[in-house]
Amino acid sequence: MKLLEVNCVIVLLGSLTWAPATATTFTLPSPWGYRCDADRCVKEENTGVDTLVTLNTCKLTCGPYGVLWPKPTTATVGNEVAEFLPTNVTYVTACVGEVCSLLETAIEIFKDNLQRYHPDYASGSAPWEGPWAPDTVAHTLHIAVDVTGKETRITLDTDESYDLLVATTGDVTSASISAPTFFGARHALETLSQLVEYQENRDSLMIVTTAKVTDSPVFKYRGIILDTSRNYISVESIKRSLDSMAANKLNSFHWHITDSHSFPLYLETLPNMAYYGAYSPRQVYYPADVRHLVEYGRVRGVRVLPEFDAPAHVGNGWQWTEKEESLGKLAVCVNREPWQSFCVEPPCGQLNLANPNMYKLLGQIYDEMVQLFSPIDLFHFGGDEVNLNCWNTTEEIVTWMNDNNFGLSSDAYYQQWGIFQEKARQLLTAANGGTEVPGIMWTSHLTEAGHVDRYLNNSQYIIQIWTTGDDPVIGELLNKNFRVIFSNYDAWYLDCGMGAWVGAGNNWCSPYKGWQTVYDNSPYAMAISQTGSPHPDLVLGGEAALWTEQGDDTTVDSKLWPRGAALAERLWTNPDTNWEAAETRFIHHRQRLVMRGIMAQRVQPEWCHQNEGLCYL
Amino acid sequence: NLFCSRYKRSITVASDKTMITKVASDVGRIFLLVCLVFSVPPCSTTFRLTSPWGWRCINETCVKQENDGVRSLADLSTCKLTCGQDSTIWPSPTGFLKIAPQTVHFLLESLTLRGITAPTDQVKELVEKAFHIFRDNVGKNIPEGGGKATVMGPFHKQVTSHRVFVAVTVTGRVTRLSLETSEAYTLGITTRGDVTNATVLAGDFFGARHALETLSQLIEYDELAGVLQIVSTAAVVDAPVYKYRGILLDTSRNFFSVRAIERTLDAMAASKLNTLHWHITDTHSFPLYLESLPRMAFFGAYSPREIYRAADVRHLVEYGRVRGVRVLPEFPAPAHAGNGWQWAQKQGLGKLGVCLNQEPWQSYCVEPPCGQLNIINNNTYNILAQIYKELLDIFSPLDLFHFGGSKVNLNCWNTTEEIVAHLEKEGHGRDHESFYRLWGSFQKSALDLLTQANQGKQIPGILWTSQLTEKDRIESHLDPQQYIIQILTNRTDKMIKSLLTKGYRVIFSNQDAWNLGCGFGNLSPSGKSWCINYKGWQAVYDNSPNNISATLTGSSHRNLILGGEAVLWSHHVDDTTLDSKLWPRGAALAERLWTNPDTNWEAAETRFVHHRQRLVRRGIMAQRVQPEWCRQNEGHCYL
Repeated sequence: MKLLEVNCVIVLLGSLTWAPATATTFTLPSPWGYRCDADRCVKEENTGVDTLVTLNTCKLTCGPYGVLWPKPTTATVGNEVAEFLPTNVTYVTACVGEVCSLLETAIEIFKDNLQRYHPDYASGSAPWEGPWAPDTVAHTLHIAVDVTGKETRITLDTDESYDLLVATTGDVTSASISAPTFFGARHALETLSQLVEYQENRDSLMIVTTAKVTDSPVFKYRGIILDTSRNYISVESIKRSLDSMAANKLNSFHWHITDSHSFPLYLETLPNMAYYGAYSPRQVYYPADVRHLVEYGRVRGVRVLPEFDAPAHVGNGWQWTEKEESLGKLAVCVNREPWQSFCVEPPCGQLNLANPNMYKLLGQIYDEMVQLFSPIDLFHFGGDEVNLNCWNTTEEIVTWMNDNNFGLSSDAYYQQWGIFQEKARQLLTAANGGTEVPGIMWTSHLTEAGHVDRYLNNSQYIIQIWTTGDDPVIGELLNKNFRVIFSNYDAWYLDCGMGAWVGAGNNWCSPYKGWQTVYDNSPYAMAISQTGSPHPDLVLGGEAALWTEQGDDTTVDSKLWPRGAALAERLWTNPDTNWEAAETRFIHHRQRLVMRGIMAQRVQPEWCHQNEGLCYL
Repeated sequence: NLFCSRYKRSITVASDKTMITKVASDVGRIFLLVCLVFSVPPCSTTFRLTSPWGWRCINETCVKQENDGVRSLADLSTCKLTCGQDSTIWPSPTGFLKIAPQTVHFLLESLTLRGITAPTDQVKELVEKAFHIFRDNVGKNIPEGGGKATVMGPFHKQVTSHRVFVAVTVTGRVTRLSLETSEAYTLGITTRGDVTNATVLAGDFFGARHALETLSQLIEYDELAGVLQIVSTAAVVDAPVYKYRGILLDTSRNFFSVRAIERTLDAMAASKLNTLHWHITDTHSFPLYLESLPRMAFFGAYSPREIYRAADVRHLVEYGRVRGVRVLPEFPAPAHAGNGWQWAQKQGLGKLGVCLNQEPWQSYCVEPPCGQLNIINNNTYNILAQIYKELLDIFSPLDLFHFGGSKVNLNCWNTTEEIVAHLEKEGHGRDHESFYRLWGSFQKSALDLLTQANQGKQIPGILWTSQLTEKDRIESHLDPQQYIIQILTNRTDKMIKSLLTKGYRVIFSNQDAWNLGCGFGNLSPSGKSWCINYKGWQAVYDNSPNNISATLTGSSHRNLILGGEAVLWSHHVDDTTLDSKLWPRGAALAERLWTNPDTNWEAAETRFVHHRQRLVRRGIMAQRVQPEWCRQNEGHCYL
């Protein structure tokens, strides 16, 4: 029988003249199939006696969690599938106000994700051709969504939980979703989409016929940081990042917009910032782009959180002010050399503490950012890596320090930095119409061990930890009741491991952080090791960072994914087990991300995907 | 869109800086309104700020300065094109290079082929194809529109009337690359009035296509004028230092689409690399559909969608040829063979592959899944002969063949009853040397089968360094006239010395610099620490076969070192990251092999970073190696 098929293939091939298009549509059959054996899909040769299923079918229904990623709090996934077509999806919603339109959008996204399971999906549609059995054509997926709450913006208090019940009777598979907020409901739709796969033998979709999922995240803050200053990242690429975050139930896109390298944000009130600071007129984010991204994220359950780094990590973009008599120099050490003396990497630049006009401009920048990103529930002040030597070798600042009798000691400068930060916070509050929002700050000299609370107040600031996971400052912050977000570079810096970009050799935080390292990095474990307690009230979550010295559009996907997914399961599920227990689901999830248009990197030979558990050490 | 492009122009014409600021601010507001009205995503891509910055060439460096409205500064591409000895040509020419610091503007439609002088129609046809590729590449410099970009006008008459003619003369008849092909060329550019003439002279087609590649690199898009420009006067005399300049692609660990391999060939052509070493099969999968042995792919492919058909292969061979790239097949044996061979036993041929997917894998191979050929079964040789025959056909004509032949796991054979019984029956021992002798005689048979498949004509075979190429073993198994050895070990390996002193021709792929798969976690579960570190482009660039040979042997062995090759084992790679792993690092390799410069990476940095941008414009997803700030501020990202 098999041989016969092969012979047909040969005949067919002979009759074809070569063209790439026909080559992809013309397919061999496969002698292989899969059987679920003790929660593992085992590849076997189809003998024609037993019924083996396709890899997708097996993965969907084998093991307690199927191929759900991140793993839900509790789930029961059935072991039968029903075939259906993406055109046969109906839904009803019970909701109030703006939540209803958000739900409509989320369901449209869900439907598009179904289309994307087709291997020949291209720009919005796929060539579903069949031939299908009558019951495949007749089968309907009916979704009923019930959202009780009115929340339309995500905050640290948002309840992202949901219940999902999938049942099948006759020609109808019904999926009932109930959630206290829109955000929980969209996560439920994401989970539902992961109970679906492509059925390659019939060119249709298939869905698990019965499932029950009760789910909620362990951590409130689950983020990715993207730096668009070292290199510009297109709006299209940022959208792909948001798509992928949504696929992983990550909820915070921390946008490190500016730095000393470039100022790509076009501010209507301060167009000179981008005019001078953008790499080129083609590498600019306009207000409409920002608003579009904020909304694009919101409907995908992702908060787009702006960082405006200060007083260090500023530079290009600020050159124009000294030409204006009314302003003077607002940034110092801009592009100054030798850079090693004035900053951590070229080009240098810090704000001019001695010029009060700097605060005027900072206030304007905050005003416009708050509008663009509105409403904000958090704001990132940056605040790391101030180089005292820069300030202390700038005549204007030295004079100002002396004139005010501050002195020139390190402490004196830290004191002034602390005062700068307090003014910045007040300017932000003013920009936000007087409503305080928690500020996030990187660990820095201001949070140095021994005096983490000297300059910053734990009710106003959340501290983001970028140093190593065993930095004693973690214990001190927690003991002093600071809320924290983990981004310890030894596990969650995704730019590590490339070559150096100044000098030769490898970059500073090499080696590369493999997905296993990303997965196993547990905020609670780090908290416990230093304080004896997981501090669930203080540890808000974590964030993986992609600094872009060595990346732009061509690699943003592959650096973030699938490793960002490993982070996502750590933060959503916080499993007791390590990466090994997750490996199979992870590999399959990577394939799903690729299906959705994300250029996620492969982490194993495909042989390992097809031969589960055999790529052990 | 109409609104936006109108305002874009109004901004562009404003010259006074404060005006620009005001206009920009107003336009920003109007623009926002327009975009809100027309819903998102908006026309933001057509609305553009201008830039206050420009570049001036000072001491062969492009220096970023603020436009003061008095002097006119060039845009970055224009400056780079004419600043510095090597312009932005990559790899740097080896003979003579002179470029005048002037450029002239022209429209893509004014770039035409004036004439081809060639000894045969076949050569003429190849040149025509190469010219089309060249012209397409020139078009890709124009932003927002790919190869078919239409430039906004209207342009000054000087621009619209300027014509660029290309004339190509090829003296030789060669249409297939071999180790004897010279690849040399000369290129002249002259401009008189409204005509620029580019004249190419080459001894063979391959030199001519390299000349067109160089010519394409003397053309850039002028952002300020919105139009293409070409260097007005130039003279280039160029030829490669090394004959063999390759990239290895492994399509067995993971599958790569034909489209992705085409992109790889495009990028190779852009860097004048000339050999795509295609490691088609391995133990993991057998993605090659052989018409005479369809069961190999039927059993061995990952899925019916992950298969190369004969037509795909022929297409890629031709795609490479017109781009000056030899597509060289590797069929690894006797190890690194596994999935795909399962069918034979059922067909009554006995076991042709042994230890297939056997476990615990650590005992039978270097990484899962295991598999080696059953070299005592005669049917193995029959099938191998069929495979070679078809490979020769679809890759024809071959001037080189890669036999693989890397590390064999003796324990696999030594624990396979059938093989052990054979050894005992033949009166051979089971010590290491007996197995190596067995392997040696397998290799001899493989060579004979290949020669037979090639109608009796011998083709040089390439083999990886292995236990068989060790100092005391190699001469009894491998004839230096018949084999070229590809060095897979480290630059300090003593085996390199023994190979060179024994007169073997070699290709360098030393892992400590030219393994592009390293640095993404362990390559295989048993991955050693040598592969933990990513090989930065600097390490790739500085790896000099000449110097390695001189250090180990005291001689540069120019006659024996054919060249080098960067290898990409695909454990962690498929279509999504192929480009970014190979490029731009493959370009660093290319300059080492084409130019073999005396200087290290630092002298090449500026051109390299610029070349990376060129690759991206051509559709290659090459990785960034520095912040854009470093590209715009040449020489300031030092350590």
